[in-house]
Amino acid sequence: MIDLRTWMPIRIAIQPPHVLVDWCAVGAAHFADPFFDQTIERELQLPVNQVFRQLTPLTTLVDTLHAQPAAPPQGFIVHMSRCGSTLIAQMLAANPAHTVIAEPSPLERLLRVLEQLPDLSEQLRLDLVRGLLNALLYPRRPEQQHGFIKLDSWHTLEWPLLRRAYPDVPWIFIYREPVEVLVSQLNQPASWMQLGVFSSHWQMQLLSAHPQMGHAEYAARVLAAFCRTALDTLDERARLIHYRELPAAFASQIAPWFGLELTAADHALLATVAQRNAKHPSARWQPDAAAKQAEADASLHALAQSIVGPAYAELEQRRAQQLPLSAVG
Amino acid sequence: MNQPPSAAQDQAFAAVHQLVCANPQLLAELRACRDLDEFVSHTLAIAAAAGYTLTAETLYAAAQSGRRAWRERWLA
Repeated sequence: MIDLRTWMPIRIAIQPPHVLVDWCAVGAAHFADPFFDQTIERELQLPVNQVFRQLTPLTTLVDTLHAQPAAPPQGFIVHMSRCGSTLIAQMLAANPAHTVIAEPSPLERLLRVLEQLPDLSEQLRLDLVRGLLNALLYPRRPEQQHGFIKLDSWHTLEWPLLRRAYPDVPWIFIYREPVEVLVSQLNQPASWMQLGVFSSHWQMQLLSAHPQMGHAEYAARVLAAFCRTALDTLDERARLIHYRELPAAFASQIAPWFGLELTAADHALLATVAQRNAKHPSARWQPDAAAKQAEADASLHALAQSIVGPAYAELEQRRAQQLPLSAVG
Repeated sequence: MNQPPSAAQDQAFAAVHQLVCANPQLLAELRACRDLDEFVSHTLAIAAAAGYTLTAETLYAAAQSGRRAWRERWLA
């Protein structure tokens, strides 16, 4: 049996007909980098982690879930991409009592595997997802009190499945003026912008439905789907956060939503983190909304408005209806 | 029965792999080796103490394979 105190799943390996989990002895590593894979990359520079890893069947995730259950995540960060989610993850991770697993590549691989196995039961599907997240967030550092998962924006489309796995966990959806996200995606495309042999069924269906669309329209349709999925799954555990509310919303909304009480020391630390570029912590953060608005030409503005605009407007309407946290209790 | 060297090395490596992975103390010791050559020496000593004959080449190849598996995580 894999002992989660030592071992963490870092990769889902597909070796037909087998699907295997690749485990690494990460020790007490603190996942303070902007992304999960960056911390793993550093761990794998250690020779021991190159040589002594373990490959087990996928169902080991379910076995460890049942034999070594940890607390469920304290919160999920779901987002539209390029909208401040990494900043939020970094603000959470600034506290050593928190472990933030941000955009873990094994989750992407697991979700693609599940997509390939339509006959798998709902129970097993949920247990595999729970098993992976349980193993990722299992407390390996004595300081760890709370674990958080920040999804890849692409996994917003999978949020209904993840939500069914964790119906009681609070979550936030962060979003931004669509044209600003579009400009960012066209300048520096996310992995979901690349279409190819690894594309999902959903991407293929989108392409079939709109065979003539260009990159910008494709991006707009994906962003609209992210926003629509968030809207469709809104519930009493959800809190909508707009990019322009950051970083102040971390202390005023996000921390209390996730049940965290911030100390004076936390506030001081957060102020430091908020000044940094979240994805490149050695650089300073610069507001760029105006620059992105100016960079978009009229056709991109029109595309953002016509395709993403309706869902965005609905998100804004729902956000305006949110009760202040003091009223939520 | 004599085995070809590679099969004998595979068996020895599998045994040492099992030994180390089941022992957090050994893992912690090896974790302290930041340098690959130092790590190989230390692992060979652990193997020898347990009665297994491993070669340095087997460990260098395993390290390479472990790095490659991660680099190619989106492919397989």
